[in-house]
Amino acid sequence: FIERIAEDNSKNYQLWHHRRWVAEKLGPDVAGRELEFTRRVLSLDAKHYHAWSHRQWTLRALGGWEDELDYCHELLEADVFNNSAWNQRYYVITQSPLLGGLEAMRESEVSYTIKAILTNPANESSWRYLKALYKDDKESWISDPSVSSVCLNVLSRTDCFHGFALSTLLDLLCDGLRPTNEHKDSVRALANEEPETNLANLVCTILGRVDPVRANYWAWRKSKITVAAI
Amino acid sequence: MADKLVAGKHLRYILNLMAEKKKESFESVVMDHLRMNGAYWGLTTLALLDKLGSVSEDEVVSWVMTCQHESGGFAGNTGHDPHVLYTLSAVQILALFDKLNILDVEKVSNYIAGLQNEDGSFSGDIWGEVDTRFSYIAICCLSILKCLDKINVKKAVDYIVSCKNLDGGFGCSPGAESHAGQIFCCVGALAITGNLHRVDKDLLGWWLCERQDYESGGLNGRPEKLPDVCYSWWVLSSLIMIDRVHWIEKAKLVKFILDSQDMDNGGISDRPSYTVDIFHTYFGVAGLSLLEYPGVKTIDPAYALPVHVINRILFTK
Repeated sequence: FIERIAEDNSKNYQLWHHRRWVAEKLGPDVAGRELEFTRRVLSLDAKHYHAWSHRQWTLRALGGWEDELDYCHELLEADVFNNSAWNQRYYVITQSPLLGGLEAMRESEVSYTIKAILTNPANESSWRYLKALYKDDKESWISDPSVSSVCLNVLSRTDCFHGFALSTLLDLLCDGLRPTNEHKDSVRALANEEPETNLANLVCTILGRVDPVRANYWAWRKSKITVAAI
Repeated sequence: MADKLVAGKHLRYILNLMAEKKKESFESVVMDHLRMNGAYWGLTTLALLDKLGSVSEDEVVSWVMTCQHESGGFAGNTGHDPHVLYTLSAVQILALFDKLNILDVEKVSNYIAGLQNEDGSFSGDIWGEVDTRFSYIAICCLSILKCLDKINVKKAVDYIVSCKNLDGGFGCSPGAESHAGQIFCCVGALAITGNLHRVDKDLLGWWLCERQDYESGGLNGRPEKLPDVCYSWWVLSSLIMIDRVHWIEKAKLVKFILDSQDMDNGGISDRPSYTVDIFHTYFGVAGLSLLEYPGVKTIDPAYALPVHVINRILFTK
């Protein structure tokens, strides 16, 4: 009954809640059924906010974590720009009782994310996910060579948006990354104006140009740079 | 392409819609259960355009009161079930008309306070759905009624903060995707309770300004989604509350909103060339208010009511 109404009225909040109320009464056996239900809604709208919220509730309250990471992958294969799927991926690697937690999953997830970034460098979600993998661990974030090298890789390309690679590099520099000559050359190749003595400053200047709608933000970032002139 | 706000057309559009409850139109029937929200959107827009006097205050206020349930909460329409969503809209409507004094404040505030859960979160109604939207609603409503002390504010705030994500944004529950609508609710609640220091303003400010699309100037609600006029409210009010609105390109956003108007029949849609509705009409005008568009009165970003209305409430006993 609920399913029929839900499919036509999937943005009705109360409906989702009623479903949860029923599911709770029926217990963990219905985890599979709830996951299947949300999967059907998500097949029509893969970013459906209530469906994702229900899916997270189901996993938390009833279990069924086994196939969730694969499900996220399936959705990302279909649309690597699906921010909800990236968010769910993070939810799984940090909350699933079947996996080892963020640090244990980091290496494989970094590798997964970098592949996604290289396929679509203008994807805000994948860059954010990459950073999230280093939650609270600045040291690893700035010292992992694959992070700075994905920035360099993207910056060396002429066929794509450089904004996220530049802002990621900016964050690394501000967090203490000591730039190599490769970093400096890579950034300078994108500079039109006089190269500044401070690399982070130069990155902000370029960002003001390649991401003009956020010019005020990049100007503010520049004003906040405290790393010594490099 | 539009270069101005056609306020007169929007006024006519809204007045026609509000009169529609006398007709059996399809839209009217379909929107029946959330008429209270629709009334709040329409009336606040009129107030922002300084045209609240165009409606019959008595008619509206008496209809609002017929929607109150014996529990103290308000329903979306006469005879429907109460919910915090409609309770807030009802209180906001009464505030617009300076008629809060007709309320049994004890009754309404008890209804809301009774919906707070052990962990500080709020349910929307007796059926128990939990969402940070309801935290905002409870806090905003009780603040207007000057009864915030009826809830455990510390726990309410701690629950909201538990819904903060690594990107600085907030979701509907812990771990849920950051979404501009939820962010407005969480930041608004934190603003009203004096807890904006729990927000990482620089980080969230960046996430919010990343919602602006270079091409259209419009704002989306999450990464890689389409721009929509309603985010002109949710993203913008959040930016204003955390004092980072200068990080978006205001002129481009104004243009996006103006281009989303129906220049002939009035009303605003979610983006240029789409169908208008009252929801987007309100958010478009409210967004223009936040952008200080001439001829639109100032709206309070946390309470979503005209500033002169909030001042009237906060500065009287």
